Amino acid sequence: MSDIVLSMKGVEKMFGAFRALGPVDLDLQAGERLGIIGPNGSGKTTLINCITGVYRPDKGSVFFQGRDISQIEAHKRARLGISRSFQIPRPFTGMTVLENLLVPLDYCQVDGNKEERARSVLSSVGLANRISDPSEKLTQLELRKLELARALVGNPKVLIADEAMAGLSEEEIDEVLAILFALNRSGVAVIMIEHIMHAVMRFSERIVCFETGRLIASGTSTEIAENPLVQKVYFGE
Amino acid sequence: MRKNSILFLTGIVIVLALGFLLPWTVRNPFYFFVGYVVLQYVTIATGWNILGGYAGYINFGAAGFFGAGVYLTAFLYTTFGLPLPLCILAAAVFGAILGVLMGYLTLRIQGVYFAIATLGLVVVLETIVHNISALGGASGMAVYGPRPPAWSSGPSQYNFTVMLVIAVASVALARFVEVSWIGRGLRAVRASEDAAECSGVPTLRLKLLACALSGAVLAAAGAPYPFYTSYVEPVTAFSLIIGLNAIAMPLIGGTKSWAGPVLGALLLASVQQIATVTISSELNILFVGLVLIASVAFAPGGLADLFGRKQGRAKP
Repeated sequence: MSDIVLSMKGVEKMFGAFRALGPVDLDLQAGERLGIIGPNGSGKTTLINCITGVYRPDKGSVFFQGRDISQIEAHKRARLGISRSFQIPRPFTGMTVLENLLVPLDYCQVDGNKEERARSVLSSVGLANRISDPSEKLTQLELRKLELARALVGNPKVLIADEAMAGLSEEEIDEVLAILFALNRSGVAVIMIEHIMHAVMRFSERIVCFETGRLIASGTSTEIAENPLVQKVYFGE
Repeated sequence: MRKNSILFLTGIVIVLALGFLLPWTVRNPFYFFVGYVVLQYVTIATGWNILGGYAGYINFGAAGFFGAGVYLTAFLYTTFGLPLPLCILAAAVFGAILGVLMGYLTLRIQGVYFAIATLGLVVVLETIVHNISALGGASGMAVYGPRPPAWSSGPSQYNFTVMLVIAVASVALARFVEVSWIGRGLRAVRASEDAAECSGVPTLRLKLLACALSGAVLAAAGAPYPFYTSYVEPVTAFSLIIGLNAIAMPLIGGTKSWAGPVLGALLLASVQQIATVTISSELNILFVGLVLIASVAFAPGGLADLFGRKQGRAKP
């Protein structure tokens, strides 16, 4: 059990009388590639908001490396090593691409020269030629890459990619997948939330499916594709 | 030290040297009387911009901090005879505490709600001052300042020099904030609080720090005011015009760097002072409005941004 990096026990989130999530029990192994699928409104983003600390769960607990982090603030979770990208890219406008990466480096206590580290990460995601450009000038693909670069520059142990491939072409999806595979090879556990099924099927070692805030299925990509509950969610009766 | 920092420090030394030498070359004290107001607004605009510009929290309560600085100095000087430098320091500390209190109560709300809440600060403080007889209540209090030191050629020149030092210190503080991890964090907050928080930025603590620094500068801007006018009363000290100018000047100059508020204040305060003398003091607000409209139409990112683009730099 010692290789479980992230664990959720009975996590629930309510918005007024509406139960957006849970109760959910879910573990993530160190270095695992986990895919999370489910229709819109199924609670995927609420789940990662509970993991990253944007929301506090109403019930249940989130454990990171054995420590209960349910009530700690989002920035402290980021410093512990839980990082994320956003469904709609949120670049730090008014800053260059390089400065976007210096923000997490300023606050996440990463050893070594910050600027060198930022440049190296930007090179690894293919943004080396955009370092001095304002983030507002990036294309959609570059914004996605910037989100990922900003998320991984602080040496996270878990990266949550929230629809990192939405709106991208097939070639661009391949580029983003290559980045995520490379990151995973370096030992980072990756949670991919995605609607692009062939991408999530290719990437994930394990996939979980959510519907109306509940986890309804878990398994390999083949098992998930053949699961009648998942088929019902996506194709109806 | 980076080249830009060396240039900035050199600029500061030159400005201070000119400021100290000016009273010995320009004899008419009126210019120093006017110059004081311009420098006061440079300080106010710079202080406002730390929270309003870098972090994007529009603070309508600048006059509250300014008035607090005015009244604290008036009280400390008339009651305890505290020297001006200590009064300025006390005002800055009081402004910082007031900033943290305001921030703690209001920073969980954003946008127009935050703006309205900060406007409430001015009303609350003005009402409190109105009802404290030790501060002169509604009728105000006279403050007979100390004789200027021997190295100064007169009271107006002395007040000008004091205000110049405060303005330069404020601009230096704003630049330090801007280029440091604090400024990067605040700009991240301005762009997206959730993304900043998920990047490890302690957003609430950083915003409270910005409130404290902004409050300290705004209150320090008000500290020498009792000696400048020799009389303080609540309506002037907590005037909405101060709050309006505090917002208009950085918007006109540009909110993304320390140079913007300085440019905006130099331009707008100078125009206001010239208008006051040559046309009518009542037309001040009209000029603010006209310059603001022109700025929105022709330089929406502010003058600093416009100059930056003209020089071929990327829009920040």
